Amino acid sequence: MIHPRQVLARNYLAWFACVVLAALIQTNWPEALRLQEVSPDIVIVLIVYFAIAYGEERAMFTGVVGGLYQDVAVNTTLGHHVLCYVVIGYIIGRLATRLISEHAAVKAGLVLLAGFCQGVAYITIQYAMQPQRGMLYPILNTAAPIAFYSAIITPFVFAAVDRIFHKRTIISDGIV
Amino acid sequence: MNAGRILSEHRPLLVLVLLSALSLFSLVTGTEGSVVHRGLSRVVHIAAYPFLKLRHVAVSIPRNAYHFVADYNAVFQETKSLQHDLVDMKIKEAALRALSLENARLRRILGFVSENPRFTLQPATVLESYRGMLRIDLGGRHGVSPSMGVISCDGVVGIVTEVADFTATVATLHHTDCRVGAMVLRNRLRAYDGVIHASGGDFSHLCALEYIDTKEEVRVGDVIVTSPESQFPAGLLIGRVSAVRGGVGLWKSAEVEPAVDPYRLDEVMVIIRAVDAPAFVAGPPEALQRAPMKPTVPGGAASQAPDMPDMRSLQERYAP
Repeated sequence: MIHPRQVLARNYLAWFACVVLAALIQTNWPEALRLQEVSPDIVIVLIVYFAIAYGEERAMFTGVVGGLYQDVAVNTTLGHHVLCYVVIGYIIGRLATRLISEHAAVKAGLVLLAGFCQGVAYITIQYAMQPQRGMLYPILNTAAPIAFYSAIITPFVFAAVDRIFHKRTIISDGIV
Repeated sequence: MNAGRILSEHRPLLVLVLLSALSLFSLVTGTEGSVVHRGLSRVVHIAAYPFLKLRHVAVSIPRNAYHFVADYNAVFQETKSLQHDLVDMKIKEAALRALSLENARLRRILGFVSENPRFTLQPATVLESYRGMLRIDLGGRHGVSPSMGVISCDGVVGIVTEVADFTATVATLHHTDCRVGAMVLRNRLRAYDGVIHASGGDFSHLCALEYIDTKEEVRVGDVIVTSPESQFPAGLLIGRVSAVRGGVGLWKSAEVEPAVDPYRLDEVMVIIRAVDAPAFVAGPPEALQRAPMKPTVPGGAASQAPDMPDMRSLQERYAP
């Protein structure tokens, strides 16, 4: 019989691997997913997934791992991505408890909302640090398309991640 | 309500505040170059390396496979094209080599003509050669007539026997129709009939100097040149004695290997007019004594015997 702590450790390990892989794909292989010069934000999709499935705390830590990875990979100031992801993870986690989040459209809508808010937050912080880069144009040109594209790929990412974690839930007999 | 329960109830909010505070602190202070940033950067690079490697392999293998299939025809066509180019280059190289050799031959002929102003020479190209006969591209229209001598830079080639308008036939020293007045350069010895002629067989590529008095001295390696009484100017190189036969009766004969191989000639010169220099008539020219001929005796060198003094009277010596 598998010990609950082992199951928990495996679950955390799988979660960590998923988040790192998503950040890897997003930072190292953006051209593979690029459509009309827009790449999806897979980490935000994962944040929404973990916010719905495991609550705001897991969503925030997902944001920490994914955000840190992206901050280092794209050489921005540490905390830039992290702050946006953590705040969005908390809000979506709180919001998900008040919504019927099993419907695919609701999930996609949450991702759209989260992606857009994350983009706005990211650009706001960037504007605060570098005002010359502007704010409105990047929001319309970058944040909105990325959020939309992320919402479109939500069902696929959810299905893939759900397959991993649902299977583990069955094995662990619903411990996690 | 105890503090533990409060913390447990508001744990997500506390985590949010903590993480947000840390992020803001990092944003405000800036962390480029810090230990945390460098450590995280190293971790990220280590984590990314296998993925990048895998991606490279995943991309390069299908791409290489595609190019292997798609580029096959292009490579095949390129190979064929290169093979054609190679053949063309070989042909051009052979043509250039032939031109280079022809250039060297013509330069040699030019040098020969300029070094022998006493000859009026007409260069001709050999059209064909067969059984000791040559056909050249000069004929009666060019001033060639029968019995004219034909030479090359190496020595005597033969005599013009038939002349057409634009071509002429030359009987070389390998042909029985060719008989040239000859003498031994060393002692000006002539045969009784005074001529050298083909030894009879075209296979041996040798000439014969017959009817030599047994008392006369002829050695293997002696140089044979044209005599003043021949239709050639005196002193032109004919060949070198390769063997001496007989000696039992009144006469002996010498086999002479001609200096010129008519089957390897491309250009010859017809002597239209020649003026015999007194030096050539009177004695052996020094230039011919240094005639560059290979030793003809198999396995041996040319005659190393000292030249014998010419004991003949002046009358005999200058007789035509």
